[in-house]
Amino acid sequence: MAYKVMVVDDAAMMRLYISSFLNARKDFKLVAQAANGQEALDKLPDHPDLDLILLDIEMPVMDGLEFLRHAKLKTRAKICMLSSVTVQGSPLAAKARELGADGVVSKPSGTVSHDLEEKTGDELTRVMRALVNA
Amino acid sequence: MTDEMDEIWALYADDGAQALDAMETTLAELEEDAPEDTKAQIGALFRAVHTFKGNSRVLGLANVERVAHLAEDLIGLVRDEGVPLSPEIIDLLVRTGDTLRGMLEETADTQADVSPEPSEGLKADLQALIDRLTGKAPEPEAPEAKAPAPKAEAKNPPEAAPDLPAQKAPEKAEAPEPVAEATPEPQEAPKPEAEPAMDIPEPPQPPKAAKAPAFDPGLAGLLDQLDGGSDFDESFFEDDDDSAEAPADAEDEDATPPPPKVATVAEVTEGKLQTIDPMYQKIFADMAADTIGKIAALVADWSEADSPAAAHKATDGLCYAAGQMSLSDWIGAMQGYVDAGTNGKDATETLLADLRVLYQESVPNEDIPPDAGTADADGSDITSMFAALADLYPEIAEQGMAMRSDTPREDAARRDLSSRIRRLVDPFGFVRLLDAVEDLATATPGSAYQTAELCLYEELLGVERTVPKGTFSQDLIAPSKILGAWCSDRVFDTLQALRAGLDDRSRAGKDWFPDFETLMRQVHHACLNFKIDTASQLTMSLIDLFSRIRIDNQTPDVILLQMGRGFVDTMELVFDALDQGDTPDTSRIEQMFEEATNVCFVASGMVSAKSIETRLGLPPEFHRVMSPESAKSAHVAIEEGLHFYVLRADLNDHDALAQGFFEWITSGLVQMITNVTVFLDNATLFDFLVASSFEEDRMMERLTMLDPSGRNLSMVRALEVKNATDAETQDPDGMEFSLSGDASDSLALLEAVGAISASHALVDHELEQLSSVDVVRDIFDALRDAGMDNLDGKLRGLLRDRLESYGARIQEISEASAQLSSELSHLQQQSMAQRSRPAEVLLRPLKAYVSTHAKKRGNEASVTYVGGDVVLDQLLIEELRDLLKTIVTLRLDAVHAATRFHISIEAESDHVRLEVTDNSPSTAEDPRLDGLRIDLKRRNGDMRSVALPAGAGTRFHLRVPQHLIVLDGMVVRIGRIRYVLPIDAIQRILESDRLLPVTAGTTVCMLNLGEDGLIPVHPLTTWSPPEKGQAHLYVIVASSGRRMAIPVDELLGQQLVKLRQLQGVLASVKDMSGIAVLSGGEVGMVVAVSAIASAVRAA
Repeated sequence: MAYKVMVVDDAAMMRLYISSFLNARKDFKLVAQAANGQEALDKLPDHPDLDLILLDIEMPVMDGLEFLRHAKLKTRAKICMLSSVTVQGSPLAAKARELGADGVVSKPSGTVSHDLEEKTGDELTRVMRALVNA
Repeated sequence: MTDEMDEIWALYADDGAQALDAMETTLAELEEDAPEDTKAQIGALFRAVHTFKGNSRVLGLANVERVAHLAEDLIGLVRDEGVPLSPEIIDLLVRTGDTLRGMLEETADTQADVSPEPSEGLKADLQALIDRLTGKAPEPEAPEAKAPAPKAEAKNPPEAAPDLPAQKAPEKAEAPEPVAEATPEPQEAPKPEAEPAMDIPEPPQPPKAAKAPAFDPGLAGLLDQLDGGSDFDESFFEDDDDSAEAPADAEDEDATPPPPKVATVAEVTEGKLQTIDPMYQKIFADMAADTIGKIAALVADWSEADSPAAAHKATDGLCYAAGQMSLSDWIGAMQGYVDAGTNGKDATETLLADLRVLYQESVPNEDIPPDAGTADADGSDITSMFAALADLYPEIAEQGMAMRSDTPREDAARRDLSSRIRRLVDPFGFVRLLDAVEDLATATPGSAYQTAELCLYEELLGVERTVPKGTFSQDLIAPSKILGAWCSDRVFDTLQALRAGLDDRSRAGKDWFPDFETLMRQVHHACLNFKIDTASQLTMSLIDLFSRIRIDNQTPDVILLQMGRGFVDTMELVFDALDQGDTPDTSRIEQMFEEATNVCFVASGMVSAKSIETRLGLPPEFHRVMSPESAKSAHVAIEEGLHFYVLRADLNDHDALAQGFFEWITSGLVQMITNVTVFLDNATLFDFLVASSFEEDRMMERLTMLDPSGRNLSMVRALEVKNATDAETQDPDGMEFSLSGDASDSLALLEAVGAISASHALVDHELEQLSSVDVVRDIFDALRDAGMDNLDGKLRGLLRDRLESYGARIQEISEASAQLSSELSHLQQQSMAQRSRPAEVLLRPLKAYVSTHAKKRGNEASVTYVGGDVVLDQLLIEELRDLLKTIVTLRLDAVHAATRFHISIEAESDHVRLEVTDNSPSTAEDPRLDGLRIDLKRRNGDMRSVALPAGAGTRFHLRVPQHLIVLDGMVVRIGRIRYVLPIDAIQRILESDRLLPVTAGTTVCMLNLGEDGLIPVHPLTTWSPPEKGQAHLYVIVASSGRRMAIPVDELLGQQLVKLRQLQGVLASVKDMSGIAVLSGGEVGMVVAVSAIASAVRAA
């Protein structure tokens, strides 16, 4: 059985990269995508058995932190920030932790990181597995 | 609540004193100056007394208010009824003023009403004079006659009977109609244009006022009101005993002509809440918020049986209060609803909406009472949930205390509480909150329960974060407040537990982090409670830094641990200062926050993002978004002399362009460093920072080829790479790492700490010797041996007592010394830790260096490594850096350049072992390598190279002695020499006679450990095996999986020693890694267990 994942990122290319990253891992399955926090919130009720949400921060309409505030009340799915602005120990990484992010991983090369798999693949996989198994 | 009441009483005292001062001044003017026109003074006098009366009434001081009321009536006769001002009136008012001042002081002090008896005489006199002046009582027969003072007056010395007025009282026919006490105040006397601030509680009675319940003058009712603890219809705004006299007054009212038209409070205030005294504004606003909350709760859970009456009751109370304050807009909104008696849900919802609008208009700066169901809860009322939860907080706290005590609550009681919380939370579907509630019922007593408690409050805080600002009025406790207080209460214990956790380096990964995170979160909430925002952010930064390691179940590296300890130290000082009421120094916290942001760059040994930002002059949107990987890429690109550009791309809706663009930036023609999101109007664009060998015109050409229109892909700017400066850049080879502090400084510090430790160890040793002696026994034995044991019993007893006393003191000093010794050891370890860094800081930059150097030569090369977590001293890291750089450079520059390296690092007790393997078939012969070999050999190290089979490459084996080692060692004596055996290497110590000679006639023996088998005996010096059956002492040591028994004569104890490397000819001393100065000042030889193990293996 694969863990069900929702990807929330405003960059279409990044969603593509993440999708490809997930496809390469048999224990995870992409079941939903959203381009901003509001869209993701609207989709949450359709996925009550979601296991994990990979969440960008800088997005239009509703950013990732605002989504985190609301989604934490509505879903047991683990929420992992995947953003270029969550460098280790940075103010936004701290804010995400404060608001209850279950995991935080930095994109390696900015908002659209084509080298996600190459540079952060192992780390992201470990974090995702640790979260869904917690 | 207490603060509010104190504030109100202080206001009352201050305002009352001002009123009485005004009264006194005015009376003095009237008495001394006798002005012809007294209108201004009489007006001022009336206002002063009126203010005082009003204040007293608000606070329920009926007896005070009664006196003031009579004085006001008397002045009113002069002001409004044409009664001439007489000395008798002035005297009586002076007396009244004195009495009121005494009452003011007493009531302000006791915050309660005065006893009525002492002022009975004054009241009687005031009433008598009023009656006389209004014709209700006859004139006195003789002006000289003095009114008899009532008995009660005797207690009031200032109150002498006043002289009666000399002038004739006004004719009865001319006299005004008596002023009925119960007549609404504004009809009693005209109001000045601008009333004193406090002078509001005498508005015209609203229609419902007559049925208001009697006023409870006690403070309890008032406290309840401010607490929101009682129903509003018992408001302290209710009228006083005037209402009781209303029927009689009503007759008078009918009989009298309409009073002169005066301004009402409503007119003065225009019926608006904003225009009245701020204190009353606040009180009314609180009441309104409370009432709106109650009505909202009723609407949300409407019951035809109970809700109409409850809603009516709540509305009636607020309507009455509004009437008292002449708030016509509020009265207008509620009167119809109140008059209707009972109302249905629709009418109540309409009322609720009206009240909300009014509240928002009237109290713009206050929190807006929440709308039912404005949060995420499908029309349910979160406010009422929090209100109901507020009632349970004390029980949750009580249960928390019990669960941390020796008598935890029973499971049934806990389930009951959880069940009640669940019932409140359940309708909203807050799933994680429900889980937290469940944990509260099931968590085991102790720290697990505390974690569950924290989790519950944090989940509630999560809900709080999503409801509209202002949901939590003053009467509704916000979870953040509870959480802040809960964490602040125990912050010192929390910091202590954090310190213990950070010092306990044996714990790692998943076992360690949860406790750390829980404790740090508590500190975070305590910081928020004290509004130390940077510190609260720093706690979360540290959680983030530690949690990234958690995933790998690694032990946090030494840099993080040091940062954590520094944080705990700083926060203890901060909270200490707060505890003392001082302002804490938070500058260190700011600095630490900056360090936390940069720590991943420091730990990785890379240049910081900040230095790249500075060198490239990056625009603000790139600030703090560069990851260590991006910084590394940028650094390499700078070193390669590439050009940098910021390109803007609109890709989301242009799939073909996006595909072409990403193919281009991953093709090698350009290199993407990082990119950020840019929001322009409704469009989401991306700014890419790229590096390329293309000049600007060439880059533009490429962009045009990708997007001929130029609309979706453009160059924002070409960046100019600034020259590196010391402050902005690191080593151009990318091999430098930045560490706070100077290596030589910390070395000097470590030397100093070592010297102090050694000196103290000597003192400690002597004290221990002294304390271990039974002085009493020793002295008496000595006396007996000297034939002096025939001591007098009394003398013997005296001697024993004194000796025991000295012995006890020595014991105490010895214990203190042991404690100091332990702290010094800790300090020594800390000093060492500050100098230590993981080998990662050496190896990661080496990877970058190899890659860059190979590229310069037109090649590609990569590095893999193991042992990045090995902790090394700074000096050793610097030495290894030069060593490795020399080797890899030679191999990269070889005729057949290496393209792959694998490095492994392993630390032994006294040296570091490295293996560098490459894939170059070139021989490892070079004068520079010979130089390294000789240098290492001279320092008791070693380097050799081995060609791999079939020309597959070369492997370098290096053994590099550690510069500075502090060893926890067991000091032993063998013959006259002292040796130090590393504690880490010792498996056990035993006395045994089970020695087996390996070869007859030699000293080569094995020791039989029974089930643990036979192990070789390795004497450190010339040694003769004991006779058969004779036991000897052995220390069993192990290294690299090899065990051996070292025979020793005596164990002298455990000691922390600083190892000094053997130099020159001494470096060749067999089996020894160095020397150490021991606690007694002697020199001990430090045993190289690893070398012995190698020798044993070879044998």
